[in-house]
Amino acid sequence: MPDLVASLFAAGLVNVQLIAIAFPLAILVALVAAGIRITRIPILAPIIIAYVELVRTTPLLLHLFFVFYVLPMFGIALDAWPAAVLTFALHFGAYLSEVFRAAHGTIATGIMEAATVLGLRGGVRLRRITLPVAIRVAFPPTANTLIEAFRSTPVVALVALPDILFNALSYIRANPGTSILPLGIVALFFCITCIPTTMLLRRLERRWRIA
Amino acid sequence: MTAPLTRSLIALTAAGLLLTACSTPAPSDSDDPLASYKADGLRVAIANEVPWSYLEGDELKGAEGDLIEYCAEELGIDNVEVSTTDWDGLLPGLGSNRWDVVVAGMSITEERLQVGITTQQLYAYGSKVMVLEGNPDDIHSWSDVAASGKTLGIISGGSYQAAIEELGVKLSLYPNFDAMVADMKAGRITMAATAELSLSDYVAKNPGDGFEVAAPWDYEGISLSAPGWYFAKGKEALRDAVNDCVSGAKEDGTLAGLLDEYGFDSSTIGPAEPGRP
Repeated sequence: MPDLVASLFAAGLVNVQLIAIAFPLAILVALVAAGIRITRIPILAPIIIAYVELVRTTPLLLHLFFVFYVLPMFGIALDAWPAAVLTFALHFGAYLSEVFRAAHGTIATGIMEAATVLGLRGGVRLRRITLPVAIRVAFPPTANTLIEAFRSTPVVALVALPDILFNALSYIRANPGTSILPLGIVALFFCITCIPTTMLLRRLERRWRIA
Repeated sequence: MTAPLTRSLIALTAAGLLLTACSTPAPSDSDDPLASYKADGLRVAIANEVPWSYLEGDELKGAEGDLIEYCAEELGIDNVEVSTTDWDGLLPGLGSNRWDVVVAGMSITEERLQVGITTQQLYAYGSKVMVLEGNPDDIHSWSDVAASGKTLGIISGGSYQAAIEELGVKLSLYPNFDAMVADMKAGRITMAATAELSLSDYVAKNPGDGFEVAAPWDYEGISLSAPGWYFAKGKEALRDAVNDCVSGAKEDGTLAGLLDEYGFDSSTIGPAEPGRP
């Protein structure tokens, strides 16, 4: 049994590494997308709207399949890792861009006007007024999306990245009569990675709360 | 702030496209149709299933895993590159040129021949019946089960259910292997059918239960799957070379040896034949 735990947890590295690389990229994608929509850049803004709506209304598994198995037919053949990272970054970037846009929308026009009257403009206003408020509003739903994204990582088994769940299911097929142990280990893995993360995020959230 | 970000994102994407364009393998000028595989290696996809084809550490194992490595060596291909993927990704990966061959105990069916070409049938495997030790009802085929009048446990959803019902077998259906075995241990059924490999593995690991796999066994053509290796259409040269190696492995006993080693029934090996379109 210790061998099984060790081998499954080793496979769990795929899940952790994927999210560690893809989630910061998703935030980057979301910042760019939200920025374009908020500032209403012509031509780009409608494209971003189409991208966000398309992604939010179709399953992640489908995106992954498309990037890994269909794009090569058009000459774009990303390897398994880049394909998975790109898919996760674009998929969760679309969700986060809506979170960021909404956070920006909560900033009262009065605050912005007051900042302008005080002589703050452009970059300073963004850094001192808009971002500190928006980050506090956007933090809890972003943390939620992080956990959601992490729990979605087992889909990458479809694109030749055998993760922890895939390995557990392989083990069960090879050893009939043993479903509880491997699946229990997978559950344990997600618990011991997710629970401390949510606790840490909640503490950060409390510390940054607007008094 | 957004403009430079957008620009760098576009630059990144462009760089990615350029990289992939460079890494597309160039067609070989040589007359040897296998030259590109000898140079770049053979890309094999598996679903990581014991004992068909699976990875132990970095090593490809299993009856089919060992055989494809044997054939690669026979054909002068030094490098075998293994991708492990979910079952549903195996065939799509051929079409998008992710791998050259699917080695996963995948049976040859008309539907699958629409998307790829295969070698000949390698061997066959199917469902057998687990009985009480000593085989008191003398069960050696599905017809024997029907004649005994006893109830047979099977896992619901099996493709052969209709065929054995037609023979007059009385069935008790279970959602999974564990539930079926639990009922047999409780004495409510005295025989249970599922994939031969699951049964022999269970019996070997649980000698105290007093069960055995009925032997010898006549499948009567029911429940048999005949796997072959799938290639993308257009890779006939590679397929033909691999198929010739399979024919050789059937004739010189290499395949039978591997099947015995991994617990398959080597008596199901058919005669050597050409590959299929």
